[in-house]
Amino acid sequence: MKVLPIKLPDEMYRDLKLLSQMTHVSMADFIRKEIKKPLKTRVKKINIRKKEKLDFLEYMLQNPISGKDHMPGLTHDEILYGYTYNEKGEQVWPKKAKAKKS
Amino acid sequence: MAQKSKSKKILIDANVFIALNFPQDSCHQKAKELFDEIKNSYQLLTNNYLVSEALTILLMKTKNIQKIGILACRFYHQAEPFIMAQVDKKLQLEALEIFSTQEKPKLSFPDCTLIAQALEQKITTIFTFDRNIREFPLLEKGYKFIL
Repeated sequence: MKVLPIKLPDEMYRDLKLLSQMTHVSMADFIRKEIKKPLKTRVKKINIRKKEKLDFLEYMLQNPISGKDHMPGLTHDEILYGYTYNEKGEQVWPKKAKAKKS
Repeated sequence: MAQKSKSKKILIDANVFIALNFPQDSCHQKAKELFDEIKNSYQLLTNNYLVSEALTILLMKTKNIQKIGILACRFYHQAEPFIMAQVDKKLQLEALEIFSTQEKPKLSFPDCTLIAQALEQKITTIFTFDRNIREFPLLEKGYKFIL
């Protein structure tokens, strides 16, 4: 718990004190209860805005896609087209061992 | 606004986006470090064919449609600092020329759109992990590769 000294206008203080006496809820409890929900809502909105402001590169850096590699050991060409080409320009199919692993 | 002040342009290949987004990729760390070096000094360009290839491979590798969906939306709606060019018919035909006249069949059509875009827009710096693009004859002289 943190303590926040707060100045209130006289009228607000009077009203709060009256309410506290009538409802047997402390002035501090009343304030805590009343600001809880709007505070959460505002913070949520600010966080959403903050997230939206992340440029796409920052987004990618902060949100990599973790998890299993479902195509391990295969090159991008092998994934897309089923085969790749070697140095001589010959079509090369993925090795059986590679294919078994995937 | 910051984008406009960057005079140097760099063209980013599909494999770089794959590496950056997938920590299990062998080039993931390298991609992160290189982006750190270039992000403030270059306009980051790519095209819709390369994005399409990156998204497809990422989907097949991760099977995570939710995350790939978010990436796809960002590319189309909030791609900054990346600029994704839409490959028009003229550029497609130039890519087709490169595709159909390559000496050895090593380059995919999206690879050829990258080369065509680099040549047409005079983008002399290319960020790729693909050896076949680095060795492409048209790009041998005067082109700088970041890898």
